[in-house]
Amino acid sequence: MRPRSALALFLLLPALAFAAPRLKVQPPEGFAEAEPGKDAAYRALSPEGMLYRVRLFRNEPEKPLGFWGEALKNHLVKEGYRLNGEGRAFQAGETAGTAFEWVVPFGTESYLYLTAVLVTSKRIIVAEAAGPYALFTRYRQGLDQSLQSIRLH
Amino acid sequence: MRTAPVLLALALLLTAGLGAQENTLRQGVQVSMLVADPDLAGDRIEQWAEAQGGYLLEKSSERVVMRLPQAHLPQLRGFLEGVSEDILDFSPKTEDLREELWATRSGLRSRQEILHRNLALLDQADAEGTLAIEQELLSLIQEVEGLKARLQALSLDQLYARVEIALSFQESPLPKDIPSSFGWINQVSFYNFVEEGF
Repeated sequence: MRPRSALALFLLLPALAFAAPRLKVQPPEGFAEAEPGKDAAYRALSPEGMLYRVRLFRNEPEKPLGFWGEALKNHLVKEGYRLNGEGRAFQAGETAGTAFEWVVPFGTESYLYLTAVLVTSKRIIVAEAAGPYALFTRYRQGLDQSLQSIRLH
Repeated sequence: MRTAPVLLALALLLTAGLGAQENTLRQGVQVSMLVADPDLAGDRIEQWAEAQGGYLLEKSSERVVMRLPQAHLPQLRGFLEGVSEDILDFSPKTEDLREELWATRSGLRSRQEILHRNLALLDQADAEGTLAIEQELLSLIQEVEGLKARLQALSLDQLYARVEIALSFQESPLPKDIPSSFGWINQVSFYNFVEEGF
């Protein structure tokens, strides 16, 4: 190995070690993946325009799923969102998650808004999907499967 | 021992009297529920209501308004749970009609009495008096008809509950921004999500 290449590799190693993790998500059945935007969030879209997004946040202060799941739920309840049924726990590989559905008035329709949170030691993964009630229920199973496919690399 | 049959007969009479007691409650229910297909849900609600002896007042994709025999009101929630995915609100309302019934009936009785008295006076009156009595009679007849209609409406309320079912969640928009102490939670918002899109 030439000295320059070795030096470049030496300088690159710390950067690689601290590089932001990347999301890997299977799109919900029937959804098309969109190109990642500037925020590196994962996005997919149904033919009817229903949105699905998965984002990453730093787990700061570092807290477990129970804490962040409750924090988000309490905040949305305080804002006036109405829960649709009970929340559900799910597993995405080795990462546990919790998902809630909210009923939200939008225009003249009732929308369902899915918020799912997964927590690793360093990251909080937040998935969202929203659509008119009847449309959302058609894709619910596919959304659940996609939530279970979320991985961090 | 002779008093026993008399007491029994008295008890039976009292029980029969209570059984025949007039229902004086107006009942109603306001429901808000989520359904995947509002039109299909509306059809199912209509069929069920008719099978129970009720009838529809209004049906659209947004809401159903119907009259349901009060006796079948306890079964309503169970049926709606089967039609909807989630019942967001189920608010029964009961109102005592005794005062209103009493006022309407006594008002009707008194006006009918005055009407009969005025009719009797009509034969004895001269031309001018006849005109005055006729005007009075017309006004009384209008009042009597109005009170009869009111009494009919009250009788309907005594028999049938009014059920209003909203097939979607129609409330005022949610407040947009109540800040959270946690930065990332502030970025989770339905409206931002839907409006930002891609």
